[in-house]
Amino acid sequence: MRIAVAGDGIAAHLAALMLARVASVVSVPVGAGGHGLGPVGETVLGTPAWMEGEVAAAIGDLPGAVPALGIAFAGWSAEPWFLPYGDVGAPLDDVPFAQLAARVRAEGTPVRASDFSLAAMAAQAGRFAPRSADPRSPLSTLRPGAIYPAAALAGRLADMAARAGVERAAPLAAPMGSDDRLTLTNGTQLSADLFVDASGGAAGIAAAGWVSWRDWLPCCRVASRRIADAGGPAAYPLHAATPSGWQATVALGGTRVETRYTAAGEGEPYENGRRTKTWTGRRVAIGAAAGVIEPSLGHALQHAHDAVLRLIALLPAAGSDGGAEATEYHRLTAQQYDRARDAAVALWLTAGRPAAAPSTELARKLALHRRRGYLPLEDGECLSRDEWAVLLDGQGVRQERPDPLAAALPPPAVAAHLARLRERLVATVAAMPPLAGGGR
Amino acid sequence: MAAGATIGSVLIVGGGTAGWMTAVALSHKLRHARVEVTLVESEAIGTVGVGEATVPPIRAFNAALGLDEAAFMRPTHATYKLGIEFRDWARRGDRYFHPFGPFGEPIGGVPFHQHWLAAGALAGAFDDYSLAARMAHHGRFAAPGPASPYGYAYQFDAAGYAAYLRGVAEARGVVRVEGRIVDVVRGAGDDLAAVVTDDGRRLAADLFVDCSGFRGLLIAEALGAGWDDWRHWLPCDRAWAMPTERTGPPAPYTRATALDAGWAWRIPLTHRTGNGHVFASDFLSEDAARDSLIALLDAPALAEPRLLRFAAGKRRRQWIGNTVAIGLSAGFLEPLESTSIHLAQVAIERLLDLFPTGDGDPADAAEFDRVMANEYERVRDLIILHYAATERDDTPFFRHVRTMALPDSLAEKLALFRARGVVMPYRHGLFAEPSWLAVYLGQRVRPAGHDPRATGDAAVLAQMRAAIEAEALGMPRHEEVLAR
Repeated sequence: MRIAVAGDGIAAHLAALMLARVASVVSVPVGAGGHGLGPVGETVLGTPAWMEGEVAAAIGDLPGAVPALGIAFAGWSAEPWFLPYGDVGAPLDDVPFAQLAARVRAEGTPVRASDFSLAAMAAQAGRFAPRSADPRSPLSTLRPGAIYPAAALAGRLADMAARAGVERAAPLAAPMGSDDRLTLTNGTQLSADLFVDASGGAAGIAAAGWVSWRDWLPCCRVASRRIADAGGPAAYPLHAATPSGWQATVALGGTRVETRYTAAGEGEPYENGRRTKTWTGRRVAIGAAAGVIEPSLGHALQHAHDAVLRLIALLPAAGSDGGAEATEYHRLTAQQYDRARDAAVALWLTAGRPAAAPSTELARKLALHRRRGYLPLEDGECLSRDEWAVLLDGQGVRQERPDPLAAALPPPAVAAHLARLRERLVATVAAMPPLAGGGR
Repeated sequence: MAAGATIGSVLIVGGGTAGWMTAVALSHKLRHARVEVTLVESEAIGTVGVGEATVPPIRAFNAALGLDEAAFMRPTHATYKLGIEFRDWARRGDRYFHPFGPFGEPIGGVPFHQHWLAAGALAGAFDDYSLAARMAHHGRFAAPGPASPYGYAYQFDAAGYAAYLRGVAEARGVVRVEGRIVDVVRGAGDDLAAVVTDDGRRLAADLFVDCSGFRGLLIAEALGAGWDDWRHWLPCDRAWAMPTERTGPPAPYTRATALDAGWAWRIPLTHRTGNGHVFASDFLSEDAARDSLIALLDAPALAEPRLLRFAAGKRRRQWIGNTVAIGLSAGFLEPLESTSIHLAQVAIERLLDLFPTGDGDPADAAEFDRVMANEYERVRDLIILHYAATERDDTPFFRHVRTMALPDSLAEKLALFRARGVVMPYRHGLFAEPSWLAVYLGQRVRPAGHDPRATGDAAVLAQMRAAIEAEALGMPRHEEVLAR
């Protein structure tokens, strides 16, 4: 099978590299710039799920990359908070930690999720250690991610793709038309069994309609810049709400990257939303060509990666018209984007910012959480139940009633459980080395 | 009740398997909550207790409640169960196994079944790649380790399980009341206030759990829950049940043999064999069904045949006001995949997730209904698949089921599998990919195409098959493990 992958940045090289294991891949430069991941700016976040994939392992150490212990949020609610890459607390008698915390808080004792998360505590202390495989070690509760300089990641993936046998074609001369072939600047026509749009849509391969999510997520301009900074790296990006949107700040050590997302300002335009079809005929969209969600929760790279994995698992059988494969690919891809959108919308909405009424799924989640701290999980969800709890808790959303099972636990048992957890985490953080290159 | 109020008392109506499972679970999980749990049942009302075979999640349920395996296996005459053998389903003479565990291992990142499809006839039977299926075939059993590629459940006397749970529940403070309900007293709105027994006692509670069986004494008769009728997809509506003497060592699996207008179960326990014939009364008379069951028996009967009547479907609402339906009062699916007890278990777990806060918010009930509808529908679809994907056209019953219209949720799953051999994934639901594969392939659904990456290397498959066979044969015999 021959697959043409169009695009210039991370998404294209990633797709080409992954697909090269299963097909003969030709990479087609588009010259549109960017990374095919939507408005990521000059850095890209690798989530814990991305890190567990084969590509992340094969990338290994990338010069300039920094490990990530989570994402810090500021200005979205009364207090700053931290979405940790790792466990938050531990259950007691099968009662989830978030319910224990809600109950203790309702009794008047302030409890912050970040005081019970090793990842959050280490981030704050400027310390870092890799995850331990020993389940008895508190270090086993970490699930670190990575912050990559986007250009360096693209370069590494391009090298890996070339070594994996990806052929490089002449650049695309014009966006793809209605014929199933690409016209290249050297005057040749390129045919393939599948055409993958990893260009953010500029290649014209992904041509289905676009559902705009602007009513939920109004930012539409992104501007990213590097600034010399004497400080050391930080093992987390800071996502701060601004009057007209939000800003991601990443300290890479020696430089700082600031990426601003605004509803009306300077920078490259983008629009949150997704295609009504992400695979039609021979044309498959991945990354921003399939859907765009500004990375307030940092899933852009993971979404592109998951889409390629999904495509590989659904490569059309010999003699198939690809119809069933395309339908399933789109169903799962749309599901993942829609649920990730809901998470981004939850952040925006609970910050008290104007947005359209949430989707049925998000409305249900918010209502049940607000009432009693229960968080139903849907198919395709990118956040875990614990991550949802931290997000809503951080945003100051308080459940109206404690969970009856949590409320019934004997107070001394809960207090002792929390004290024991805290004590172990404090001791563990104290023994962790500083993040290489210094803390913030 | 006012906001912030808590549930102080729960009344479970009905003491079959579902009722006593609920009683043990609530008394354990609410042990710190000073919730009074009472169960009212009548000796005069029989329980159904057909659910003699289970699925692996029951082990997690038992473990979470601190129930010891050895302590309940003996009084329930339990045997280990590695899956279900299906006979005569796609064609007469066919056999396949739905094991508790996966088939083979991925090769080069490509799912095993894709290689099997690519290999074609060279690969042998799909079941040959399931350790659980081979263990079952050879009558072997050993407890799996954390990394073992199989799980297990039990075959047991459901009435004995209920009796065992009753002992545990009563020891943990559940109060049992003997009595037949003659009246239901409504409270405000959709709430119930109390039930009244035949000896005039009034049993009030904050929360009612309807475990009264098919009739749905509270959820249907008192509260009019409505019914989603699934008989057009699952026309079987009767069963004859009849135990026989044990002959030879008990098999570590259940058997389901397709007949002319339904199917027969065979469930081996340590002291007897459970037999039954599930059939569609539109296609077969009760008398004929009884005769065909008796003709199948290979050992002396231990009791007269007993007839059960049922209908496939579920209550449209399973939680109304302060009443929650669990077990047969909530819905019924024929026991082809041994899911009755499991669906009660899931309902109990979701009730604990959403345990009412006392002020009875309808959002809790709506969420419970939504989640339970998903569970029922996904189990339903796998059961329908056994009928829909058949080549049999030798009886009017099979000619009917093989051509009936399918629920959309199954039609789309089947279309994807037929095209490319891919199982549609979902987050919530009992049956995962191996179960769907077992039934699709066992029912002779052959995808039009397979994963282009699959090599189907016959030598690799032969090696895998041989290793599984050797591992199965290295295990002790089932009856030896039971005797320990």
